[in-house]
Amino acid sequence: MSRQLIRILGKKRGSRHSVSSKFGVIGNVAFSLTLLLLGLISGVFFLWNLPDGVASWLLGIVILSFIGFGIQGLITGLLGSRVGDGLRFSLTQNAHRFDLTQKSKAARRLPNVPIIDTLRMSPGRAQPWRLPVTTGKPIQIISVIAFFATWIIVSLFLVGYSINQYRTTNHSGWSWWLPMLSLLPSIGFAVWSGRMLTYELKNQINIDPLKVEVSHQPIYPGQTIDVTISQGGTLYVRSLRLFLVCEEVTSYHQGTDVRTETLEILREQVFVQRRFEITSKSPLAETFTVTIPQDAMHSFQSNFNCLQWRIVSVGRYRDYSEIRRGFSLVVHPPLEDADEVNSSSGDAHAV
Amino acid sequence: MQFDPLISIRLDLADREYHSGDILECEYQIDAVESDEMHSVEAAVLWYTSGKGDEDQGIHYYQRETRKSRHLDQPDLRVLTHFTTTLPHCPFSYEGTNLKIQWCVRVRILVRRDGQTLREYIQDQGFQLQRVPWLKS
Repeated sequence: MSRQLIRILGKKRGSRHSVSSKFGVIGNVAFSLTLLLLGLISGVFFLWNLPDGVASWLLGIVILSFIGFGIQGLITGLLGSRVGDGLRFSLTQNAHRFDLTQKSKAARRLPNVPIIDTLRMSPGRAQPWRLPVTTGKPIQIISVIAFFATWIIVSLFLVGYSINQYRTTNHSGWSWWLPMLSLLPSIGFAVWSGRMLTYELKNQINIDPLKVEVSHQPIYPGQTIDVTISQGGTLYVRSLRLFLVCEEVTSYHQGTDVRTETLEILREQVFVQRRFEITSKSPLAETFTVTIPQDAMHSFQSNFNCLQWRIVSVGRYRDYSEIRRGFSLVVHPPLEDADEVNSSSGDAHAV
Repeated sequence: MQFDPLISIRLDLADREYHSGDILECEYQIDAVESDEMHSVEAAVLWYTSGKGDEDQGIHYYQRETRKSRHLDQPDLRVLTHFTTTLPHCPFSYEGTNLKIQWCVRVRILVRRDGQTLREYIQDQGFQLQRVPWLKS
């Protein structure tokens, strides 16, 4: 079905591109070019006749943002077009010639597989590598803190305003008691979010983080690795389970929103222990093995799609809520020369 | 009546199943279009994703030829053209639930007929790079 060139009115239904993609690219490039030219021309005038004071800073920032957004739009517009296919390839090929780091070599050798450099920066105690935690609740805690702070500020403002109005007016009308009335829900929200914050912080502070260490990084399909878990503190554990998990993570545009969906395609229990106590004298320290399936897909990472391997822990503790944590694993494709770093980017030539 | 151009792509392995590090040999040819109507031919070996997420694409091999870039003794862009490339170690072909990774040889031609604007025609020939089956728990 041919697409119309331009859609002025009418809701987009179903298809992700309701008008010609070529028109979109041209429009994007034209807009960015206009923005860039506007920035450059106004920049010349600005430098020619430099104003004084705050106005010069403000104007300078606006002009620089015009130039910045213009350049950024031009680059992304061109790279997003069909011209960009070849251009991107050419840029990548040429960039490799000047990049002498091992990181670049590894990325070229295994394109779209996560680089394990950062994972290898954290040595373990019982095993060579400690895995980084990929899930916690930082965003949730920050949101609760922001929510709590907002309602505390609103409540304080309302109290101050009401007192001020009460003292300066003749106590008639709505000027002082209306803010006082709205103070009640405001304090209610503050107390509720404060309790939630206390609960979250209690979990974070009182429970020592679970540490997961592995004997090999990266891991290959079919390989069996030793995994050691450890946890300190004083806790009564109702159950602690660990799973080997493989997930497909996909991001897609829905209108102007970007949504992300995670689908577990493999979940295999690798460790379980119930009803035990962790004390300062007897911390948890267990070692077990994990085998990556022989026909497993390697870790994959691109702009919108990702296939990730993780060890996920689910802990249930007395007096605390259930705590889930994820630990990132990188599975490489099976290679005959696993340790050899050699370039294999084909014998293509760029135009 | 004018037919669309025919783009034929042939890979060296009949089952089109390759392993990482294999050499892929490919031939392509264009028909049902006049030589002087051809503007350019692009051949690429690439992977792309399909499924629930937005499409990602990675180009492994790319070549573009125009009438000007061709050798003077063979300016015809329609003739049988051959190229080879060493396939990379990854990503493997993959058939998941929300994510699929597919490899293909893509030939794209730009044709100008009767002084009209350039029109593109694309033909893909898929192949498998060490296909990984869908994992089942």
